[in-house]
Amino acid sequence: MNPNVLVVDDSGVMRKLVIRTLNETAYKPAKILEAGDGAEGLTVFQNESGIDLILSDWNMPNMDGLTFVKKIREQDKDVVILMITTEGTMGKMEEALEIGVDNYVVKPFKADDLERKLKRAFARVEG
Amino acid sequence: MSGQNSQMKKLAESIDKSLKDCMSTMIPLDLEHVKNDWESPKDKSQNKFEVISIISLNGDIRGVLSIHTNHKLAETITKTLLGMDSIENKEEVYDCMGEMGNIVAGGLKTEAAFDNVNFSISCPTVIRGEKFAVSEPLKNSDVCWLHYKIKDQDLLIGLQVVKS
Repeated sequence: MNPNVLVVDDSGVMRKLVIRTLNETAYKPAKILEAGDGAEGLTVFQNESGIDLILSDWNMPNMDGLTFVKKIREQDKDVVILMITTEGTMGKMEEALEIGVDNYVVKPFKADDLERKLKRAFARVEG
Repeated sequence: MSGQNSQMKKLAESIDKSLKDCMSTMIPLDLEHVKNDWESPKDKSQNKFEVISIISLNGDIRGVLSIHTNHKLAETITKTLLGMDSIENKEEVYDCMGEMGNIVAGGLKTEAAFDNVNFSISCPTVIRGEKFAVSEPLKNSDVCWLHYKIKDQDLLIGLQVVKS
């Protein structure tokens, strides 16, 4: 599968790294869009059609990842959302899953980790 | 060894684990753990750095985690992380060091949570300059400085925790 992907992270280096890692998986993107925070990500999502996958950081200025996901889910129940975070605590993860994140990957991660999480996340919309 | 207590020792071990996880997974460079110091250096000329990534911790513990390097090592880390031969934009180096601080602090937070020590971490702030020294720690705090070598360059991680 070659999804259209929106990568949301305030770190340009992390966006580059996520895109590079994504290209090493079975989910090599057909199209890549980038945003530097949740507010920008929301604007990009509203202005672009056909986004299949969102990879979003958690801690970002202006609008954090959780708020961003809540707002996306108000508009779209189907787009696959994967949260990328440095914090692997269960409480945080449960909160993210409850508001509509399909899966999450904890930094640091390898391409294998990302691919495994994406497979589970896409199973929801494919199944 | 003022400032060395069981909680600080445990936090230092968690930082070490977090850094090693980060390096082995995303930044494949040989990392040598040289030593831990439990007080701030008295001779500040011994600790002059050019790039410092700072994250504040707030919750069951309050304090600051900081990662100190020189430009050369920061560039090496960035090139390795991104798999590039050269740096297109110098800002990427500071961005990368901020992200490294974020990952190490996130790992520390995750490990600490297993012991029911919970805190939030701030977005990273990166300070850059020319050979500035490590400053005095936060007042009334325990400190730990973890010293590492990567490609013969110094990497220093500081943890300062305000005494409760």
